[in-house]
Amino acid sequence: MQPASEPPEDTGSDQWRRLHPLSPLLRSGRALIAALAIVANQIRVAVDEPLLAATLVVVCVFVAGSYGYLAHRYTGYKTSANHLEARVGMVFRSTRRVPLTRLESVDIVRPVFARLFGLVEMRVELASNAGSEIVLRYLDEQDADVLRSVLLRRVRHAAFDSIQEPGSDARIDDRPAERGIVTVPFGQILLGYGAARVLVPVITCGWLALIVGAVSPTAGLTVLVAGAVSLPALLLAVGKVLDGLHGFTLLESDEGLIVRRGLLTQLTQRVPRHRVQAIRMEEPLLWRPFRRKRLIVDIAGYRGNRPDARAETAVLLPIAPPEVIDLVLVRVFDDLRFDGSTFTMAPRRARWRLPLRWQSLAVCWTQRHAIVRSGVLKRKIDIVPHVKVQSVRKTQGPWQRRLDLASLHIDTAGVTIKVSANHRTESDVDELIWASRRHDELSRSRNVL
Amino acid sequence: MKRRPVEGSISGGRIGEPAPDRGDAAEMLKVQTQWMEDFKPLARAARIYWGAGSVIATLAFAAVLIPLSFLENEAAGWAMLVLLAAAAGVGWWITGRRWSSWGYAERERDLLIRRGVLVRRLVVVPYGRMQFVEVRQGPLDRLFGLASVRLHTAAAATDAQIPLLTESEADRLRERLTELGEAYAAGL
Repeated sequence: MQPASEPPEDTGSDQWRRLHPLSPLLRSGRALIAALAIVANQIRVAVDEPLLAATLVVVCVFVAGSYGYLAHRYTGYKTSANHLEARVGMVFRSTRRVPLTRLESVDIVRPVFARLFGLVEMRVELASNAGSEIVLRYLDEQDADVLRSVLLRRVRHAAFDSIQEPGSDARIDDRPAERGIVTVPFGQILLGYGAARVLVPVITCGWLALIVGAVSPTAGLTVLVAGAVSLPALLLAVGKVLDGLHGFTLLESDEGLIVRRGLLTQLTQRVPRHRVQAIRMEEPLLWRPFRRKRLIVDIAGYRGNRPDARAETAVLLPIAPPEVIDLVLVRVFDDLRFDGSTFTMAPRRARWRLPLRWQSLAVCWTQRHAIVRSGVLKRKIDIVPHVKVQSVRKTQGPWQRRLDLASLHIDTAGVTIKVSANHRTESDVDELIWASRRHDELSRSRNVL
Repeated sequence: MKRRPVEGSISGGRIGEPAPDRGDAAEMLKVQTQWMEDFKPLARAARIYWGAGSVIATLAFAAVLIPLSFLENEAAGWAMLVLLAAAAGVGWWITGRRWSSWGYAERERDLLIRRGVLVRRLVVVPYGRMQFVEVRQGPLDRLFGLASVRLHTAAAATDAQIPLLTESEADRLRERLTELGEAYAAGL
């Protein structure tokens, strides 16, 4: 592998580059629609006095157009050797200057209106603060690609510096090759996310109305009406979820996985392999007959050895059959040796503590990973690599002490997935902690990240 | 459908049952004795600090309740006195238990902190995961010459705090842990 040569400087990088001319039109898209709605409302007046209406329309268009044009003239971006600068606004100007080494990620978003014209929105996010980002609306797709590759080179330089051993070579591509892994068909998403979330409340409401109606018909009717009134809100919420998951595609690049999803707004999420803190496999009750599961990952950022403020949770697979789940799991944790059968259950005496749930608690410790199963209605399997464990806690309440049980908690840098092996024999917990520390140290001494 | 659980194996043995013919007896011994480290206690002054706190709280109650009960009648007054004296004694004893339940042990690669009387907790923090060490000292602590040490890792849930050590010990711990943290520093 040869070290990469310095990328050629972007032509005209000292000058301000404008965004696409259609941008102001698209940015004021919503305002335009609202204005049109108001105008349509006043159509009656317009018919009576066409001259006045026409004058008003012309004046409005002129004012809006000139403001938009002037604002557009003053909005732009500029890349230099070390910085990315973006300026916005004519009356209220704002300039943001970002050192390229602080760049975290460069994402391309395709809102639905922009897509009609072949334009994209570019979001540049910074390492330290989740709030500080630069959003360029809207760029021609080609310009966006050029800008993105220039920026990503710099980002990758910095990222590679922090995770490679000093002295080793790094191959830095212009654009990492992306290989598709799987696309989740929308039918499954619709059934898994839409059907259950709409049908269950509707059926519950119906049953409730029947039961209450048997007692007093007016009360039953009230329940029905209340349900009908909240139905649009429910449909909207479900629609949002479905929109976010539409066209879910999982791709793989050298650095990790990439998630592309969304209908109205296309999102691209990057899941770098070395930043995955934990994975959770969820199997809701209604999916169990179909053997479908969901994969969620916890990602935590870092710069060198210090952690970032940004940690997030991403859906890796919204709904998938077991074969696909196994495939993707191996892509994320390539040293995962787990076939789902060698679980060790909680001891029988745990039934005094959790009579209904104790049988679902189980753990499996492998050489590299800690795997914990829990949950009755929504079965969860959490997988944490031993090297990602930040601290381990053992707790024992008075009731547990009576029964000679203890609980194990694994703390990771992720935010959502909290891994706990509850109500195991105390000596079990001791052994699990010991094994986790041992495996972690062995992995580190072999310099495996 | 009930499936018989397959016994997994961690470090070569069966979980939940002592393996009679385990290959690595030395290993088993290490596992069983891993918590029998020398846990260092908190500062002696901390015991008095907490104990005094509970006695003062009882006294505050006494200052109000005893005169009131004496106003009722003498017997009630004496009864209340005895009751509150007993409460003070119990409070002293409880803070003593609490004090002795705290302990920390610096091992080769990680730090152990244990605490709790009713709910016993133990946290293991590997040196390589420590992001930074914080030493805190409230105004009252300063009077007694005490300080508390708090470790931070990348996980928000890490609950690694040692309250009320002597100032010198707190400083020593901070220096040592910062050194070890950088020596064993591990990325995320």
